[in-house]
Amino acid sequence: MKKALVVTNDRNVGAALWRLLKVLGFEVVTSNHEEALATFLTEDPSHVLILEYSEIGEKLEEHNIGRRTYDDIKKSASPGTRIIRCGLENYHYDDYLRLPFEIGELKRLLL
Amino acid sequence: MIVLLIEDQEEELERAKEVLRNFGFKTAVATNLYDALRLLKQLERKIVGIVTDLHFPQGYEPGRWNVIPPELNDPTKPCGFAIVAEATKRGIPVVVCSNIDHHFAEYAKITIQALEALHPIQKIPFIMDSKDWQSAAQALGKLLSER
Repeated sequence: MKKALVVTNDRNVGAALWRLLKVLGFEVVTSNHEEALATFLTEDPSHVLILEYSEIGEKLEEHNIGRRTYDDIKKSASPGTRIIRCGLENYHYDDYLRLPFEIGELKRLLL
Repeated sequence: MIVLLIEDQEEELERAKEVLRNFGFKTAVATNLYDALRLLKQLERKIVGIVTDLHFPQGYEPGRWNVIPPELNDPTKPCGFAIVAEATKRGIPVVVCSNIDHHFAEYAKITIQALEALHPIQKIPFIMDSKDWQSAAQALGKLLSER
């Protein structure tokens, strides 16, 4: 079974994505950013969804926490792991999903 | 079993990750001293050992500098010594893996021996001449089996 890790500091968003990914057939684990790398290494997910990604406001910890989590997990992951970053800004990365997104867009990146 | 791996060259990093994976280790990866110390603090209770290169950049805290001083990205800094010191202080098994030529590595050997002497129970394997991750992984496995 495919396993997804959802990383967010927002419990409500985490719970909503947990339900959505369950419907899409994933086993789902959630984590906040502080515990994300440890959870990633322990759970060994095939897919990772990282929320709160941003490249602006680097001086504010809360504004770059998703980027740091993404960098940590990306470096530690094996090549087959699919990692998706999500945020509110507009970036043109293949693995980036701008919020709010359609479920179909998430499915396209995940499946 | 989670290992903290510190290596700044991408190609070597991928090789090291693969070798360690084949030995049954999961790798938390840092490419500079700043990130390595951050991950060490964050994962300390989960890390069973450390495999580190000897020379890599110091790195920096995001947002601390308006203009990044080039010294912080200098890959020739022997930051591995700081990792070895932190590991011995915390009692975490550590292996150094470097392509430093053993003919010109006296300064490194003496420093690592001195750190070893501070904690005589802890041996610090030092792989030189090439980044032989296989030997590094074997050395770490041996250290763990002896504990």
